[in-house]
Amino acid sequence: MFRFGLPEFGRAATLLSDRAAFKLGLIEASGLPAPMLMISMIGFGSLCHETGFSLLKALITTASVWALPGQMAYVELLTAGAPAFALLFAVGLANARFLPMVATFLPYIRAGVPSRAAQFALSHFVTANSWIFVIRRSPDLAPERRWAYFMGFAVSCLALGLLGTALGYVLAGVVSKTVTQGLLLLNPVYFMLLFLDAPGRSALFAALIGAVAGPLLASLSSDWGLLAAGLIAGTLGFALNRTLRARHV
Amino acid sequence: MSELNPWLMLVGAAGVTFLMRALGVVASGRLDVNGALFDWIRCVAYALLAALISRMIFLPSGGLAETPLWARLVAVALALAAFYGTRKNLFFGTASGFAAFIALLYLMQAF
Repeated sequence: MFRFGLPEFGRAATLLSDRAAFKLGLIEASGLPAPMLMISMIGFGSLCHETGFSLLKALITTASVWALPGQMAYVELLTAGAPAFALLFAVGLANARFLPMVATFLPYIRAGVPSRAAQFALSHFVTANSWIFVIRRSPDLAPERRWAYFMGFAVSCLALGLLGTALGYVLAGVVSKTVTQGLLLLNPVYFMLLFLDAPGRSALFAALIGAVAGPLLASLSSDWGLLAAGLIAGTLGFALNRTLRARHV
Repeated sequence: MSELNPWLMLVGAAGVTFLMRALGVVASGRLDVNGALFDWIRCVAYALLAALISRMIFLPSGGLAETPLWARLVAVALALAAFYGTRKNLFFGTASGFAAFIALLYLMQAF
């Protein structure tokens, strides 16, 4: 059964070599996660085309920032003529989620990456997709092999992410408006379904409260709203789980 | 308003994004995976992502903003139904939501 693109592997995968783990990551990302990323990058590519970016600059933006909301903020604010500080501040806020994401991701793969410099380098490839899938796959992999799985996963995502950026750039205006709108909805729907299987009750509570708080607080403050929603909802989900557990629920 | 150098600003944008990831690397060093602090940080990460996704559905920017909210919500509801109806199949869930949304948008244009 095709579930999250991951077949049941059991403990057999703990015997994989680095090379085989890399290949497994590459294959599993190519099933659904990387193609989904490609589709969302199509939207970014066409935005770059509309705002007069060159294709090369669009591709370098995707590879160097490697976080869609931040990339969008960069292009939109640059085009709007925002001041430098406001632009960098907005990009930083839009991508603040990477701090807690990387902090909770690294312990899973650290056994195979002892060098601090390599850990910093690898952190660039952490995205919502790899964060969820690599952590989910971790119990099946030997701790020393997880980084290789992660790299395979990241290479597939990066390749298709760049392809999507280029496709969106070249196809801007060719695809009908309705189909483009459908493609824009694909990304949030995909991640919503992915998150409904959040491991652990506290994370599920946090995600549900965050889904309500996000639009509410974002409508109050477009800069700080999301960050505030994340901190408040994350803390509430965490506390709710603790309270319930203390009462043995 | 003075024109910003796009390449310089790209270095800055990539830099602040990497700073967030690098701070995550630094913060991870002392975290105990089974500790309460780790669980809280994980909750904040999930909440941040959920807030971001929810905003894309309820308060979208760009092309999606021109579509009616009810059509987006019907598509999301159908995606959920297909997801749970197929024992949590991510592909069928996502594809159903997409197909329903496109169909609704075309129907609205036809009438």
